[in-house]
Amino acid sequence: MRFAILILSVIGIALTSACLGSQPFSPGKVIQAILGGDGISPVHQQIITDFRLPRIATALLAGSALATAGLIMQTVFRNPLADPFVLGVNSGASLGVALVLMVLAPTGIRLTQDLNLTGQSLVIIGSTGGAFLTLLIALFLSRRVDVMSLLIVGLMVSYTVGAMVSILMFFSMAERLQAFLNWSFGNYGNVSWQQMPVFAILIIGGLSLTALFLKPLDALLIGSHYAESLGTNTRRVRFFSLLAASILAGTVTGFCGPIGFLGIAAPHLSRYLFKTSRHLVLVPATILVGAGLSLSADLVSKAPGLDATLPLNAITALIGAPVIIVALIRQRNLKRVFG
Amino acid sequence: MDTRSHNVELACEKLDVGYSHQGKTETILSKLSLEIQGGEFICLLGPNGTGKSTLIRTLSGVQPAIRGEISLDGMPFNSISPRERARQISIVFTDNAPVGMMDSFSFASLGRHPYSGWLGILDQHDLDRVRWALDVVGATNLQARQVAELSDGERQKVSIARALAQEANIMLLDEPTAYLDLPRKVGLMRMLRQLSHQENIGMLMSTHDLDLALRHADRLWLITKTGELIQGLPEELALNGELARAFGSENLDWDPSSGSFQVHKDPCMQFTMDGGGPVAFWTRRAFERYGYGLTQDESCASLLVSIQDDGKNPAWIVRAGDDIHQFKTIPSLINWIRNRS
Repeated sequence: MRFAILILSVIGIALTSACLGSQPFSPGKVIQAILGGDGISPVHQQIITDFRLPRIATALLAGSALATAGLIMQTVFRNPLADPFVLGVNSGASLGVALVLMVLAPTGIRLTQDLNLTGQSLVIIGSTGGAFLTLLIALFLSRRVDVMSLLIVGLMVSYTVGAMVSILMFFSMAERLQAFLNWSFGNYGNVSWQQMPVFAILIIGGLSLTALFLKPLDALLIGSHYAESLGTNTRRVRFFSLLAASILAGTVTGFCGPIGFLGIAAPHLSRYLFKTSRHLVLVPATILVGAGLSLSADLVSKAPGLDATLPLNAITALIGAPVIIVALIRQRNLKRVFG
Repeated sequence: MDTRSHNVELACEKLDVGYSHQGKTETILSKLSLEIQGGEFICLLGPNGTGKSTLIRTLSGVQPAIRGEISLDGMPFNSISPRERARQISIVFTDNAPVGMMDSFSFASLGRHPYSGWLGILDQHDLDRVRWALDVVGATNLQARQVAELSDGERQKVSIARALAQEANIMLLDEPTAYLDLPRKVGLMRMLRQLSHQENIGMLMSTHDLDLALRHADRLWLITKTGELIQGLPEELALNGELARAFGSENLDWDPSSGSFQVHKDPCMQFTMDGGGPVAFWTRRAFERYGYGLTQDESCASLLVSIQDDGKNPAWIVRAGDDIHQFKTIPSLINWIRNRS
């Protein structure tokens, strides 16, 4: 029942998002455009199928991915404040982007021409590469230290990489800085239909990997000793679920920029809605809630009626932070709920 | 229960337990040769920091042994898959709150993990076992409540239900009574002993409640201050002085005749007493609190106490040398002892 309502809301928000924008359309027109009817002008058709729909698909996938990654991190680290980026994945991505925009771009324009890559693809390659490099470091460390230390190590990796980005920014020209800043606002509009298969495969792969560990993730909720006494191989579960979370968070950051708050807000809201921490229920719920929140944030950032596009990252924070506060107040006592 | 038709035994041979970190090992207990049989309730006693928890974690397989062999039903530990081991050994520790939101039934259901498929969906038999486990610990009425909202005692019950739902033949408990008040400690201990006998589960439970352990355990494992582990029946260890050796300290003696701790006796401060019943018992407590020890020998006692108890208004006559003091109330008696010592 609650799932049905969630699914309907997500579809509803998606449809609204397809209708609203700098050029509003009626729902009928949107459906016509999707089904390829005749009564619609080619320009309108193109706006809907080539701009709005990939953007909606991106928002759906990114929202599900970040929410699931956040849930995994909260479970593995047994910490309500853990987000998809606790292992420094977003810092790694921003270093990659900073290198592309501030170091490579001014000197290596020939590279772009020779490899026939657009600037956009280069940014995606840079950030995804950076994300996965930090992921490798974090996963390598995860086998050597305990969970709490790993949390701190992740934070320190973030700070270190963030410092490198600052140094790069300090030596960069203003226009390059602006390009980097634009990336760091987050944007769902950058994934074209050509890039979508890679984006979708990575995210669906990450979600499928998560699905393999729903039961052992439940066991991790009661601590690693208990989990092991239930026959769980905690090291393996931790490694692969962190791998899944990092693929999800890294991919989204790579394609859309660093998008905060969805990863914390969606799991909390889902726990509040479903009153459970069982991952068999919570993961699908979180995917739907994440997708819904993500679409809503994108809808707001398109600022229907205004001419400007607001930074997505600011909108997710504006929506996400109150959601977390309300969910926590309703749960009354986070410390008891989260040990 | 058919799965427990034969006794499963958890045993270890020349086992060293402790910690090993970056090539350095710290052995806490060594050369342990022990066994837990089905249906026996063993209490593990010992002062703090002597390795009770380490031993329990090692025997449960969540911490590797430093040296030696642990076997389950005659099979070496490392030849048993984690899933199979989970069907044979369950654990209950002091700290057992799950994070996030979970109702008690889901929490107890985690005990079915070693039996369920990859999604953890429970079949009818699984559900029956969980219901049985909650029922047997008296937690059926708690099953819909969030674990985070339970009291310590309730949560411990549900945690034991989780372990019972695991249908293991061996249950290892590390200070499960630690946060409970006395009546709940007694209740939990009784329940565990009964379950152990009824379900033929071999239970090992570490505890600091010496008195409760002495009353309930079938056998005791006693870790001494020097790091030895002594096994025996409670009465045996009480009478042969091992308990006194393990638990005595500069300020406290373990007194086998009362089965409890006594403030260390000063040989100059002895008293004799005649009279009996509760008044005598509590009078003795009062004297002991202020450093006096009861003796039968009038020649070495500095105080001679006699109690006149007509059942309503007790009175005390205390002779100290040539002085004779009479007291009508407990406060006046205690006031006098306190000023004297």
